[in-house]
Amino acid sequence: MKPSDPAIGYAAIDYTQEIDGALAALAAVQPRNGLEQRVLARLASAPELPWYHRLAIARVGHQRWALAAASAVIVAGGVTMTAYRHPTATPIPVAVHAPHPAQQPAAAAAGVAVSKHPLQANKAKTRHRGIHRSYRAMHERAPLPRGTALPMRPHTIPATE
Amino acid sequence: MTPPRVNESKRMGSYEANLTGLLPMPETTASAAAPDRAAELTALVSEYSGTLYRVAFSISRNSAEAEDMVQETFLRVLRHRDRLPEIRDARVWLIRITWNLVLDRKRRQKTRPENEDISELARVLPAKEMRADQAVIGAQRHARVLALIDQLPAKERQALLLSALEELSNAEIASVLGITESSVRSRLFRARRDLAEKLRKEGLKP
Repeated sequence: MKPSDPAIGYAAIDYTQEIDGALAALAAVQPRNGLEQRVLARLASAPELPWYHRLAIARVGHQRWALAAASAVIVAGGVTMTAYRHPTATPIPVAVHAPHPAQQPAAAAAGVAVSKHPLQANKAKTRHRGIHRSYRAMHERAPLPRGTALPMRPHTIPATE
Repeated sequence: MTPPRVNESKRMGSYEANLTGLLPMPETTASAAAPDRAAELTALVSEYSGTLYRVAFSISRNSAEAEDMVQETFLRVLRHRDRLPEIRDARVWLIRITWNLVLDRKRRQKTRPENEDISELARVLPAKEMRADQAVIGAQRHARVLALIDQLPAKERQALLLSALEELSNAEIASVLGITESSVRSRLFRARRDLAEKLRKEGLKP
């Protein structure tokens, strides 16, 4: 297949010379005369950098990591000292529920041992997490009037009766 | 007894205060190494100004801007002159500084060069053997190719433009661009292939 083949058009035409010519022209550009003198004059008249700029670009060599580590330690120490709080004995929130008012006298009468510890008395129900407000709303009972005789529950009735 | 150079420098607050010839001496290195570095910087200026100018011009296509970039490059070198002894290849280092400066400026401008500096190209063409009209036609032709180069993707375009500087090898281009040498080769290949395709679409006959 020749480059002159009309089926391929200019696809096979070698543009290398064209490209190289343009690039060579670009690479052959010459500056105006006296560029070196102008650069040196600019360098000579350059203002001195302020101290903080000099510090920013200062060369610290191998001490760079040491400086970085020291800075990190200082920052970490400062943060720790700022955020540190003495451990105080914060009371553990415990849901204390008195045993059912009807249960204790009846249990005492039946000789059934009832723990006075609030947690143990309610362990099965609450598991130390308190009673959810929805449960409380459902099971809330109105206080009984004084002198009301409560019925004995079967399991609290002494076996002798 | 003459006052020490450091005090005089502080009083004047300028590099001009402690020039040795044209170049400044740093306050902190008031030793024998300072004049050496100043002389080294002068040598760098005289040796690489032209190269850096061409590097900057290849991107900016503007003489004044390219010259400004060269000056800015050596200002950076002046500020970091303490690192000069560590530099292994000063030429590649300088080209990389110039390259990044020009790209930064171009990125800030966010526009392609609107006016191709054809007069610059016409000036550098081998016009001694050519008539004036032929030189202008040749410059316009080159400008057309360069405009197509500007349409290439950035990676390919940068590799191609750096390769135009005959002083730079593929390894040095890779060092400037921060890529591998094989990447440079593949980018150059793609750039030339795409550029040929664009030239074909333009209907430019060799």
